[in-house]
Amino acid sequence: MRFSHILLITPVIFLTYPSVSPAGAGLNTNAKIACHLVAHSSKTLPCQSPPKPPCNPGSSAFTTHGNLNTPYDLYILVADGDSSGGIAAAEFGIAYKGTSQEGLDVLGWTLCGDAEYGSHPDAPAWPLAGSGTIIVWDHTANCQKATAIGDLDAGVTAVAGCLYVYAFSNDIFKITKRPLISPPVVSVVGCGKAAVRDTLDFPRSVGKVAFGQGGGGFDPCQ
Amino acid sequence: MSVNHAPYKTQCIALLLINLIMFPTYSTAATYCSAVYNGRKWCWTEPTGASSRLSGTIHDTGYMAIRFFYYDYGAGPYYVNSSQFPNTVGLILGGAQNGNLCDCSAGGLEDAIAIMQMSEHEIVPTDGWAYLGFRSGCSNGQSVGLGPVFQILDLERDHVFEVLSPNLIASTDAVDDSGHLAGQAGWNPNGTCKCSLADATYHTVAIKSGLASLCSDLNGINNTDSSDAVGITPCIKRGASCTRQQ
Repeated sequence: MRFSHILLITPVIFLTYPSVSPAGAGLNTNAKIACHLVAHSSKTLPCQSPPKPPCNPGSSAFTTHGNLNTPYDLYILVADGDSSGGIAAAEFGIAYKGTSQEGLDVLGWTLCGDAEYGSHPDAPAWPLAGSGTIIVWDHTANCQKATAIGDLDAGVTAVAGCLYVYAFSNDIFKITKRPLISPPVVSVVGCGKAAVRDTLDFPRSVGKVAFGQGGGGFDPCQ
Repeated sequence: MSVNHAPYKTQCIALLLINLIMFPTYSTAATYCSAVYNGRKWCWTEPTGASSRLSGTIHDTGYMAIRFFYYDYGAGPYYVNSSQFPNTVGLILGGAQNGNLCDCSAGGLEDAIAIMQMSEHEIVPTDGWAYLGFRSGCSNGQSVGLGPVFQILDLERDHVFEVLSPNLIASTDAVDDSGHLAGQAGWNPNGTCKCSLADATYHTVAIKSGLASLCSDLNGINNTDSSDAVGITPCIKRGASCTRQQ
């Protein structure tokens, strides 16, 4: 083999050599952040016994479409979390039409986690359109390890919180990357020694809810 | 016959650049040896280019648990624990920092560690949790002129020990009740290690903005993100504290 051939091949070897695993790669790379819509209830507290649909490939147990002029509770959940490491935090943003009484209006927010850190200081305040947040569960006392009933792969489902919403006209509520951080991401963190931040596959791993006519809702478990 | 070397020169430069990008080198800065301790003379190397950090949270039973993180050459932070290290690590504490520490390891706790002479070399049995504390938990020895803080040694890795945490301590207990960091004018931890509202305020700024913050980046990966929020939140929620001082 001529020296020139070695020089030509060597970069190919280096480029195909298995690189060091990404810093922070944890157990929750397959997790999703999904949305689930239920009729609004003023009689029960949203986080008292929140809905936990199973997250199974090929079927959709999440409600991702709502009607106009109807009050709903829109739950944001982490699904398909790792059952050994559990879930201790979720980080995401939200998007919808931000004009009052046009498209979707968010009328309230109930935190189901243990703490939240809200938007970047230069982003709209949570839960305004274009805002973001970090939801945290106490990993020492409240690590989220429960599986939704009917979840076939025993993935963890954790309810981050619930938005009280009302759609005046067609709109799509989307989970987005948490804005203005560098880089913007959707992420999930495990508990304890698995407290590693996993960046989720966007937009494949996040949910959408469509209101009014037309499609656009998305269940990332499908 | 003349040979045109220009293509080879170009390829060599490209190859060199690829090597530098894909295989960054971390040269060994120096090798140090301790005095004879427990019949052994320990030597270690201090790598350059590695980001390492000693950080921790106050344990919910009131003990500040210091978690040993080590950012290992780009492979991600990991714990000093029995699966990756021997069950012992060594501590060397810079004498100037001795007064900044409180030892919350009252007897009877699982994994508790008795640190008797903090200014000397110590052998610490641990599964990754050592119960030490600081009167205020963030201390960059270099920036506040206090000298080296901790030196955490990974023992028995080929009998060449690496300094894991040369200069920086970060903790959930970052500031005193007035928001002063250790070494800052006015700093008065008032004899306790604790997670207070002042600490919550301090950390929240960094978590919300995702900025690099030496004192809020508990896992030492150079920015403050949701994984740091996980480490910080339990201590803040409980207002955990420890009053035993070294």
